[in-house]
Amino acid sequence: MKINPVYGKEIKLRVRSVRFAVTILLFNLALIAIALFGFEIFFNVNINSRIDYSGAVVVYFILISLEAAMVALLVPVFTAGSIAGEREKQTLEILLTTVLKPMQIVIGKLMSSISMILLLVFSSLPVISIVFTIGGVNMTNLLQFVLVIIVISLYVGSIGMCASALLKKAVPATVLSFGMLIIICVVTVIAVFVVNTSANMYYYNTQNTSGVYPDVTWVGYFLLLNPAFTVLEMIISQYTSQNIISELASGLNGTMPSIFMDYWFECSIVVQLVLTFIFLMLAARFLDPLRRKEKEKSSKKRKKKKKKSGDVDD
Amino acid sequence: MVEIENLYKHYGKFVALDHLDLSIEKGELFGFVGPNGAGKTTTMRIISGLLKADGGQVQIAGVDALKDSQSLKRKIGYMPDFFGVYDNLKAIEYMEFYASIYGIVGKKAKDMCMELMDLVNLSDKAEFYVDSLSRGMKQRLCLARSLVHNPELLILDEPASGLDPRARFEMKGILRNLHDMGKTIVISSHILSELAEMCTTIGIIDKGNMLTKGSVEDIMRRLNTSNPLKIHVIENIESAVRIIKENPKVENLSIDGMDITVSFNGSEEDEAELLGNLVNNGIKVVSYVRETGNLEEVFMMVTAKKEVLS
Repeated sequence: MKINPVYGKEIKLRVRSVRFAVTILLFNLALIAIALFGFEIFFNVNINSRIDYSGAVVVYFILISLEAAMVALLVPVFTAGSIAGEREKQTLEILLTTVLKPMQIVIGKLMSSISMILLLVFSSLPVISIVFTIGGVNMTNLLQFVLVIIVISLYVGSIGMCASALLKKAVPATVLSFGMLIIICVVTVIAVFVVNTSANMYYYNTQNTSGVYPDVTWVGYFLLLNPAFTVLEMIISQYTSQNIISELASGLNGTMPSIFMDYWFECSIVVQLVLTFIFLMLAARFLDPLRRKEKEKSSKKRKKKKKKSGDVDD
Repeated sequence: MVEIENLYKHYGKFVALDHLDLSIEKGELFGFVGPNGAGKTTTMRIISGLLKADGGQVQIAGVDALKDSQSLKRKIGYMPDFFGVYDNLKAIEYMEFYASIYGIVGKKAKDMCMELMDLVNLSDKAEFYVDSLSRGMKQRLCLARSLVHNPELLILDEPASGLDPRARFEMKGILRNLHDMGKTIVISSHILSELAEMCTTIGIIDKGNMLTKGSVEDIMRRLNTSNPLKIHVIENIESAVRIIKENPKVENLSIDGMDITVSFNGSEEDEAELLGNLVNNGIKVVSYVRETGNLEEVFMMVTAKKEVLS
């Protein structure tokens, strides 16, 4: 099997470092500590003289929520620095004169960045599986978690790659990645609240409660983009079998087609994978020197800078 | 091998390449020389597929470089003026990484990489980490890297910049070897003398225009025609001045004792004819020479006075 050369090189560089082995060790030690602490709280601290075995499931949900959050926070750091880092190290230009296509470079970088994170996640599966000793969580739940983690890694990673290909420096690229992540995870939720509140205010103040609530379920579809909401919906449906999407739709004064009500998780996964593809295409486009539109201002700035330093681009 | 026609590139209002024409034959070691900001790097980046041209045509080994960048990249090996290396990679791993990009892996890749490292005198550094190598060694490693896919054309942007004299000497030797092996090489520098020693042909570029192109000797000869003629006679200076003034190629002259300095806008044949006239008219000429400039003067003259080459 032919391995993407960029992926092969990156993995060699990353796995070779002692820091990586230490990171895996510390990460799993932290998870074990949290799990043991959770079990201690639920089973050994007998406040009302009975043991609540459902506490094991709560520990499981805390652990997977932590892991999902870790993925969402670490992947942009790894990916946003990947291409911008090559640019800063002045190694990108050489790569671009080889037969590697920009998309191959983007895929190689993305896969190497997220495979490090996924290695952390997979190494923690035995710790998470502690919950199987008590029950309450089945294998399907665990596989669903693994699937959502992979999709989040790809999705958030593609955002990081896009920022990394667009900007020249790793730090601004990381800031842009987190900015986009905040828009996707926080602004979509705020948008739902704002639109819903505005609709209710319109009903009470303009229609004087005499008409019908305006149907604003359309804003709920924005949550399909939100990986945090995908994890939340997955956890709630695993834990309570409650359909929060139908509650969301009724809260937005309307209803949604049954495909979204019954398969929200699957729909959000598909939407996020489609967006991943779009972000990767954009990243490859930004990376292609012959397709990237040069900004006059930035070129002028660069020339001025080089002239000042006595090292003019000929 | 390289055919550039009417190449145009601008950054806003700044014209980097002003309808540049250039032709480089197969097997040439072509020196691309010009002052900072002349358009050397811009030209090299365009023909390496790293920069989009705003107009013109570029053919590299029969490939339309502006339209078919994938085919182009198999034909060229490029070494930029400034480049970085990957930390924590050994020199041999660095080479193998680039070989893997061209689908060369395993033992075949290792053997080929060692061969190339031997070519650039780095075979004993194969197991050294790249970031521990000196600048000169890194330059040579990068040169070896650019050869992994056996390109027909090597494009080297200021490969000797920042190197000490010994490293420059080694680099020149390697480039001569590559030229002897039949590679076509385009190499840029803003120091004419550096290129003159090893290049078969040089081209002088300034403000995006190719001012002149040819062998070093040819360019020197052409440029010398704009230098004054120094004539020393031992008698009859008035007659000598009269004869010289009658020559239509003479623009002006000055007299200092028995020395006559003549601005003579003519070829070597015209020079010989003038000398013949003087001698045939009984003028005793003891010295008759066209002043020659050194390479740096030539460079300054070409970039300052474009008209001397037209």
